[in-house]
Amino acid sequence: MGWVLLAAVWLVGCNTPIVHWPGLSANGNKAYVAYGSQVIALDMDAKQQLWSYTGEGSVQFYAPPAVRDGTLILGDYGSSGGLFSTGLTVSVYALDESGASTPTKRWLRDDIITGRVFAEPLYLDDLVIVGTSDNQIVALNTADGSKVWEFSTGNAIWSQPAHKDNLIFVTSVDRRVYALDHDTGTVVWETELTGANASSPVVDDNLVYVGSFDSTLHAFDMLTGEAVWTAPAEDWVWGKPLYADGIVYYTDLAGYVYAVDGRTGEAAWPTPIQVTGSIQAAPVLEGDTLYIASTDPSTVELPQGYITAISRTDGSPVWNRVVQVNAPIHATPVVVGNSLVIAVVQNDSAALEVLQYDLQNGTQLWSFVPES
Amino acid sequence: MWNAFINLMLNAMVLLYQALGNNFILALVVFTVITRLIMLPLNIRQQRSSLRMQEMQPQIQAIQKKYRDNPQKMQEEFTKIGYSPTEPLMGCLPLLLQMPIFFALFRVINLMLDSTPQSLLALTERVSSSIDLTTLLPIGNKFLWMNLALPDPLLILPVLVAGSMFVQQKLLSPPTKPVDESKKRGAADENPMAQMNQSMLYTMPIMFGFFAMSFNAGLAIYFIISNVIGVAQGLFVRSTMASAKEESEMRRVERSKAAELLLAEGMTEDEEDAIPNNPQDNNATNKRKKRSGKK
Repeated sequence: MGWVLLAAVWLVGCNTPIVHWPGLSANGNKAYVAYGSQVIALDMDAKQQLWSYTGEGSVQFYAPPAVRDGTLILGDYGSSGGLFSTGLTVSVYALDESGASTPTKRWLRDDIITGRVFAEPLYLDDLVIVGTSDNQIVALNTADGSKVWEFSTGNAIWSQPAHKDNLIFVTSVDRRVYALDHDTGTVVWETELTGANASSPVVDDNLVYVGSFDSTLHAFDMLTGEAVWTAPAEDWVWGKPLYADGIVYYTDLAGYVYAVDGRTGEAAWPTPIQVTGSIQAAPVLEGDTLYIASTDPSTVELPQGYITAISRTDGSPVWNRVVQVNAPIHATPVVVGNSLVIAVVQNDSAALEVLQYDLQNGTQLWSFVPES
Repeated sequence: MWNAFINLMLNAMVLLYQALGNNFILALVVFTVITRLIMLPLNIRQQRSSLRMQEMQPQIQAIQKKYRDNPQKMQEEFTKIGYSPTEPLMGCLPLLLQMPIFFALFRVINLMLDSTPQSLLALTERVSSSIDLTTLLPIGNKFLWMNLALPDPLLILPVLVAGSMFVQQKLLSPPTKPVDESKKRGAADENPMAQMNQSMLYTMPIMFGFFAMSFNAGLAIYFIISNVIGVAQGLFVRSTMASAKEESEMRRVERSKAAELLLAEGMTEDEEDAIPNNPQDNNATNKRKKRSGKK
C-alpha cells in the first residue's frame, strides 16, 4: 500500500497547474511582463527594469496587463486556499505607476471573479471587461472596480474582447461569438461556429473578424452577426487577426501567414507564406513589415522559438531569427520604439527572459532575465 | 518512453470520448472499466498472494522465532512449508506494475480537463493527427453542479472518494477473526501485516478524501468510479473464491496448530529459547540469555 501513499503525494504535487506563459504588453517606451508571481516594467530605451510588483501569497500572473495613462489593469491566475481547499481566489488589479518607483494599488477586487484570467482585459473609459476561465465575462467600473454587469458563456474565455460603438464582442472556447450591449451586458446577437475560439476578435468599420479552431477566418456583420465571408486556413487560427488598411492578416498553427481583403475575404497575396514552426501568437505590424513569432514544436519537450519579418505587401522575407535562448514563443511580441520585444520562458530553467530586437535587421539589442 | 506511454493512453481516451458522443464522464467510466479489466488478472493474483501470506503468517512467525539464530535451518523450514522470503515482494509486483498506468491516467485526465491554453497546446502535440480534435473541442467540463476542471465546491466528491475507498479497502481486507479467538491468540498484536491493513483501512480513505478536495472534479470522479469498480471486483472475486477461502481457512487453522506445536516443541526442548510475547522485544530475549549465562 505504500505506493498508494506515494501516488497521493505525487498527485497533489502534480495537480498544481503549471504557469508557463508570460503576458506581455507595451505603452510608450515601456514593456510590461506578467509572469509567475510578478509584474515587471522595463524601460526599453534605457534597457533597465523600472519596477516590479509582487502579488500577495501564492498568486500567479498569466495575462498581459492593459495599460493606459499610467494605470495598469490586469487579472491574475488565482491563488488557492491551500492543499485541502477547494477555493480559488482570483483578483483584478488597478495599479497606478505614475510618479512612484513601485506601483500603488488604485483598487484591487478579489470578490468579483472566480475564474482564472488568461487574456488581457479590455480597458475602456468607463469599463474594464474581463474574461475568465469559468466562462464569465465581467464588466467592472474603471474607477473603483465595482461590478457593473456579467455574462455567462458556455466555456472558458481565453481571448481579449473587442469594442466598437456600443457593442462588446466576445469569443469563447464554447465555439460561439457574442455581441453584448456595452451598458447592460445583454446579448445583441450570437452565432455558433464549428470550432472553439481562442483568438481575440477584431473589428473594423462594420465587420467583426474571428479566427477559429475550424481552420477558418470568419467575417460577421457587426450589427447583426450575419456571416459575410470566410477565408480558409491550413490549421487552427489561434492568434488574433490583424486589420490594417483594408487587409486582414491572420496565421495558423501550421505556420502559415495569410493576407485577405477585409471586404471580400479574397486573398491579397499570391500564396500564403509559411514560416518555421507553429504560430500561436498574433502577427505584429510596424511600417511595411509584419513580424511573426513562431515555435517549432517538433521536439515536444524543448520547443524552439523563431521570429520572422516579412513584407506586408506580398509576404516576401525581410529577416528571420532563431531565438537565442531555447524557448517557445507563446506571448505576442510588442513593438517599442524601433524595436521588437518578446518574452519567453526558458525550456531548461523555466526562467523568464525578455529579448529586444532591432526592427530593421533583427539584431538582438538587449536580453534581460528578471530576478525571481 | 514515458511520454509515448502517456500519449498512447491519451489517444485511447480521446478516441473513446469521440466514440461515446463527446461525453467525458461516459468515456471516463468506460476507460476506467477497461483499465481495471486489463489489471484484473494482476489484482486477483495479488489478492491470492495476500490470502496465502495471511494463512502462513502464524507458521512463518513461529519459524522465525524458533530459528532466529540459525538462518540456514530457518530457510530449510521455510522451504518445507513452501514459503519464500521474496514472496511478499512478488505479491507487490502486480501493484507495482499498476503504478505507471495509474500515473499516466492521472496525466491524461489533467491534459484533457485542465482547460488552459497551455494544456490545449500540449494536447494538440500529443494527440495523433488522424484524430480530428476540432470536432471534439471544447471537451465538456460540465457535469451536474460541477466544472470538471475545478474542485467540487460542495465537497460531495471528496466525501464519496473517501467513502468508496473505505468500502473497497474493507472488502479487500482479510476477514477479521472473532474477537475472542483474536484475544486468545493475540493474533492482531503479533501479525504486522494485519496491523498495517487495519491502519490503512482508515488512514488511506481519510487521506484521499482530503486530497480530493484539491483535485479537479474529473479526477475525483475517476477515483470514485475506480473504487466502485474495485468494490464490484472485490465482491466478484470473493464469490468466486469463497470455496477456496474455506479451504484456505482450514489450512490456516491447521498451520496455526502446526505453529503452536512447533513452538511447544521448542519450549520443551530448550526453555532458554523461550519466545517473548512481543516478537520485537529483542531486549527481553537478550536479557533472558544473559541471565541463563550467569546461571
